Amino acid sequence: MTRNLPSAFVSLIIAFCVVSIANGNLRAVGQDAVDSFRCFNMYLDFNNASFEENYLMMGAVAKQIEYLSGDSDVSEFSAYMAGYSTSAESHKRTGRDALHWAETGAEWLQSSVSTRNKPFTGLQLAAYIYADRILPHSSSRLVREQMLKIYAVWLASGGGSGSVNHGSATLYQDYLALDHEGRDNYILGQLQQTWVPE
Amino acid sequence: MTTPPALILENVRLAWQGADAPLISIKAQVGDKLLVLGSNGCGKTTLAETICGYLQAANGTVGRSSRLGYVAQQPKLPVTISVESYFGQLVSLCADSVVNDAQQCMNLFGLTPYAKRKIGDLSRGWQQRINLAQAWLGDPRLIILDEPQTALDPDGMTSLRNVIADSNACVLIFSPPQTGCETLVDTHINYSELC
Amino acid sequence: MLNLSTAVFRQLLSWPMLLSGALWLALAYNLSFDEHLGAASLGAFLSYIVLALSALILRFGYVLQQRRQQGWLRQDSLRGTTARAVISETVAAMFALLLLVVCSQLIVLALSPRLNVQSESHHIVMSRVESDNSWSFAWDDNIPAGSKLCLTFDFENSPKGVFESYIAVKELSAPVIAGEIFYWPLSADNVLDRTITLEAPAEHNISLIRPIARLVIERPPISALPRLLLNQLLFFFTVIALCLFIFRRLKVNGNLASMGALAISSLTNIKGSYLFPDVGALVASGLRFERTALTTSNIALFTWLAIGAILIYFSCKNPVANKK
Repeated sequence: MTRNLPSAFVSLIIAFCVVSIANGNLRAVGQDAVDSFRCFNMYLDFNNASFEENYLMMGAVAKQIEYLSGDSDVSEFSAYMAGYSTSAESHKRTGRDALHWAETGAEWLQSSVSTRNKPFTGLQLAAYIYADRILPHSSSRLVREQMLKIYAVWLASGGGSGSVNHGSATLYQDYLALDHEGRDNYILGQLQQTWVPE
Repeated sequence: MTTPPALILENVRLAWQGADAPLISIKAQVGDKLLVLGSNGCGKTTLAETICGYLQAANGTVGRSSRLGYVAQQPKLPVTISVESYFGQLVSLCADSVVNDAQQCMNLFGLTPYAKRKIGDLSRGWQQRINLAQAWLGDPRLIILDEPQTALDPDGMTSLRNVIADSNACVLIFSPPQTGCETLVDTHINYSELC
Repeated sequence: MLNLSTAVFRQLLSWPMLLSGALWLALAYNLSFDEHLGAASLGAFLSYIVLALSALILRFGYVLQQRRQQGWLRQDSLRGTTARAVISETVAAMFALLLLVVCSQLIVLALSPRLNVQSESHHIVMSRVESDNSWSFAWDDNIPAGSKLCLTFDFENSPKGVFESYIAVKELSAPVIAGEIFYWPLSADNVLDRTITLEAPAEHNISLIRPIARLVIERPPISALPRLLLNQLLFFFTVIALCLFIFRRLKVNGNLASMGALAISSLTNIKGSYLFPDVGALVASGLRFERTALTTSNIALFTWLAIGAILIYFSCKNPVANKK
């Protein structure tokens, strides 16, 4: 009986670890490899989904990739594809379909602002989706306010860390110099300028 | 200056025995050769393993030479490596102060022609010879043989008899009666006489 | 002793095992640095290496159990040379790990894969509003020295003409310009405290845009790989020692002992546990890699190694006889 005690004790520790890993309270040594492998497979799924233009799949997989690897480029890319690129008139979608995907793309970007590692480019993209793809088909005041708010945040960030938009600080300061109504018009003016996506 | 005994057991009670079991005492000097005969289950292997230090005695004192060779009844051998490699590793395990000659030990039991062979490829009889030869490695002062005749052919028994006769160590053999071990040494005692 | 170590090493890394190891390295390299599908991160590659090292520990446990069945433990206790056997086993296991680690390093250095081009990585940081003009930030992990807070401030409600303010922590202060990202470099003390509170002058009425507050951490460059892999080796030294201790002193089955050793070493990843030194970052990989790599303190590292040395010392003692 006493000879089996150490084995029982070690088994108990292993069981405790297994339960803790299952609960998400503990990361086992080597467990990251599982996530890395899952991530690799998800990039594969993402590529397939993007090839098939399956935007819902792209969005779902991008969320997982972002969670596993911290790479937020994929979620911005899926939002760009769904909400901006293929919602253009040149893609010959029905207006309703284009609006639906534009709203979906904007929603993806907005709901993940606080979880994306680098949210800055996505802010600008969201503002442009609202301005170019949603607002022309919607008279909702809420949508307009949302767009103004997002773009103001983007202006405040100066385009984000590592931004190439060197003039952004001046843009925000010009914006601040205006009164409340003037600020809204300033943003609308900025958004009406042609935006060439990266 | 007197030489310390190779083995001294005083009032030893084996682990599995009850409180009323008779106590075992033995004293053997280097050079003594002794065959302990006992029927199955009387405690021969337990006693041998207690002397080797693998099992704890319930009480009493066990004193023995630190240079010890042991032939287990059921040999545990690394079947995946060659005989030569096995003895090579055993030499590395022996204390540095001891003169080790693996080749010499292998010669004792005619193992040299099989040196390159994998242990697992050899017959049970030859494996028993390996089991016996390893006990002589490291110039032991005390050698315990637990049923050493198992699987040995007459030629093997002759080798064993000669090796025991030539050995300077204290040799203690445990065996049931009528197995042929009686021919190995001259002094025979019954297990019950140890008590 | 060299003879013994070589024998254990050969048992540990037989030809099929060596072949599997080489295949695994090739796979790990491709999975991590594939042009289209790889994460292009050193963390992903290291995660596969850590898994291989863990597998090697399991193999070590299996070999120990095999050696018990082959009678080696009885031989070394009979001949009073347990210490020699334990040290040989440790050396053999460490050498097997070293071989894997060196090969993985050579692969990366020789092929110099495409890594993530940005030298800094951004991570989410917990923020809390302390008052109208002060905010506190907290993070769970040890983060590398030289990390920065990357913050965006909103000047919407500031008095007219105020385009510049400042952020202060005790006597230190730094200017904040409207429309520019504000970086606050964390001092060694801040990093250790895992929290910091920043304050802005109340009269400027600026506010932090909390959802986009981030922690900026420099990515370890490829030249840090030797040190990262050395860290893994040091971590696994104590895992080997644990495995040997459980196997030899506690007389547990070798396979169970190796699993137990890995399980116990995983407990170092529990945050806020004072049971073990905080050495989980030695094997940082995957997503946690950039955030925690090279953050183990020397005290924690030496405590971990000392635990390993003590366990080896106790394993070297002749085993106590069994009670039948």
